[in-house]
Amino acid sequence: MSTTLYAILAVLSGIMIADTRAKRVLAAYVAIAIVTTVVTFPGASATLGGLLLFGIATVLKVVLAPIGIVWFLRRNPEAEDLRAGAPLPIRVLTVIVLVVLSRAVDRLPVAAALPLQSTVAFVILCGIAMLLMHRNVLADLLGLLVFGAGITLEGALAAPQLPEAVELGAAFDVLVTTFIGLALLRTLHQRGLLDVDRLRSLRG
Amino acid sequence: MIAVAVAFPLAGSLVAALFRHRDARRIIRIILAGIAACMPFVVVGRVDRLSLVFAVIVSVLGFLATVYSTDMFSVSWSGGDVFWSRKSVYFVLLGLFWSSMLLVVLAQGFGTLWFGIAATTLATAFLVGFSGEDAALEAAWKYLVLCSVGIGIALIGIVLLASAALHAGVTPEFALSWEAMSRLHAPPNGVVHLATALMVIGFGTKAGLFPLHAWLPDAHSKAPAPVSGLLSGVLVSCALYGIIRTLQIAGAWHDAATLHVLLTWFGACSIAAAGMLMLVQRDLKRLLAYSTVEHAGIVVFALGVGGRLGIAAALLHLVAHAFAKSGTFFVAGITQLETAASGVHGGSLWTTTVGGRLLLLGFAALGGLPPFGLFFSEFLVALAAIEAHAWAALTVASLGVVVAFGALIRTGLQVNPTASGDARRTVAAIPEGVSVRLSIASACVALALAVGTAAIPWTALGTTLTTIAGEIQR
Repeated sequence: MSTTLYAILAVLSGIMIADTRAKRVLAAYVAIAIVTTVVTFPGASATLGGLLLFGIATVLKVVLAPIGIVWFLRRNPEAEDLRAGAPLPIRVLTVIVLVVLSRAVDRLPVAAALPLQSTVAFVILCGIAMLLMHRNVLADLLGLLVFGAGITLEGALAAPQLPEAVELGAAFDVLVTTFIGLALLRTLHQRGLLDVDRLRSLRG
Repeated sequence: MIAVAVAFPLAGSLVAALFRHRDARRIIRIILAGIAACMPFVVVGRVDRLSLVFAVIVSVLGFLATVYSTDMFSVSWSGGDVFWSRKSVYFVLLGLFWSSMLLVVLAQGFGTLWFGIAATTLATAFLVGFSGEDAALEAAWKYLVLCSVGIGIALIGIVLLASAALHAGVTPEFALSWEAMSRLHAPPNGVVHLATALMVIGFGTKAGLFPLHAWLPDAHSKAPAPVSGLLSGVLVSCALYGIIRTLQIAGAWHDAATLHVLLTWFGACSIAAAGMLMLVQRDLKRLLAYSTVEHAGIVVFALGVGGRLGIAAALLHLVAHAFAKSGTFFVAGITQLETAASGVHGGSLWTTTVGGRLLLLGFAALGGLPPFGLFFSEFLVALAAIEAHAWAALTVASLGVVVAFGALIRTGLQVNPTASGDARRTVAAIPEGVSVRLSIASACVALALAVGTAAIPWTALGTTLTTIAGEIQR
């Protein structure tokens, strides 16, 4: 079970880092969000409050956030290219390095008490790698969403007795990221500032 | 009552927005903000003293920032072309910001505290990008991305800490409560080490500690002056409050030794790096923003060296810095109006205008000159570090403080007392109503001075801070 889950998430996260087409990357994110939702469901369904918040978080993560991004892409087709910051071999190598690093997490004494830590570590590291590997600011938003999915997964696995807190955190995280992110993204695009290389006027 | 106190600033800003007549709206806004500022009184006895001290800082400075903003927008206003760049949106976001910070400091557990910190991002990202200028949007984006990652890391730490508490026998409904956690005597284990380290990194990102500070100079320098004041003086304090609560739990679990080392070096490196970076700044607000990184570093360094003296010094530093930095940012907003520029080199009017003189006083407060509060707190921090034999870290931190002080002096001396005619005409063109803002800024600097004189150990404030330090250390 854990190996299968790891393999699924590894492939999906790998697509997110290696691919440069926004819609394919978004599809990979949606698949990751669905997988993490399935994993967190048993814990969340233990209480009514947890189930309610789980529903809200799921709608935000799996439905509203992707719809918002698709809406943005329809109006701004030039944002479809995530503009890789490194060539494909480097991006693939990054995925491999993340696999090795995340597998090493399971060998740490800290991880012994908690399940599926390598899977969680991989998703979180992929979220951060997304922030670094692409030059389109839309990739930052997708990276934050994957990072949030990793945190939800960690919450559900490390503290299954706290479904409300975990789901509330997940829902709010997605809300903040998507709501503010899309609003800023839209304005940045209007100003021709979609490339992170153009967001470097403030330095030093 | 805690919920009422937290919700009041946001509710007040929404109610004021309903009034259509401009003057009525302003008066109602200030009255409601005044009532909101008194809200800490209603939570006396319901929260501990540490929360109360922070609630007072948030409320006083939230009120002053609201009055300052009301005055600022009544005189000059040129809105940007983005949808959130409107006065009504500004005040609602300011109310949300104030309420979020109260939620952080009045929380009874890490879950609510995290929620409050995340909510501050919601409010302040738009406030940072309020002007709609390209540079402000850039700052807002960096702020959103880096702080989202930071608070995400803090959430992982909180989840792991809750997991450790659950394993130690805390019931799920109290697993995030520090009251319940601090009653436990859980054996030190790797999960707690990792959790507390992640929480410090996460909250440290929001506090702008080096090397996680990249967003802070941009955001604090591009936001409107009252928002910069709140970001630097209060939001950073709220993030440091999260670190204090983390330290409190780690201490109660007898598992704080590693955390103390981490904090000491986190703090020392932040002070040193900020000092160096202050030397090369040419923008006034950016210089002040780096000064915030330095002072956050001093607080964390003091928490790291620990002991009752170190923690009391950290608290004193937090209180004094909140007023001094907010006041200086408020003055910076006025000085920029007076000089019509934010450059700190050549030809400025700092010694020829009231704002300039007040700015120099603010620099004196931030530089830790006596009798300002930061002088006493820095002196106590040094004593605590000597007591803890943290010689290496103290050396690094001291060098940083000296360099930062040098940067402030250099900026303070780069003045041109014989201002040119053009510059004098700029002074003549200062918009009316600036005296209200000057009064508010003066009040903040005066409060930083009052904290210094009131915080000597045998006074009420000194005793209170020492008692709180004892409670944190226990």
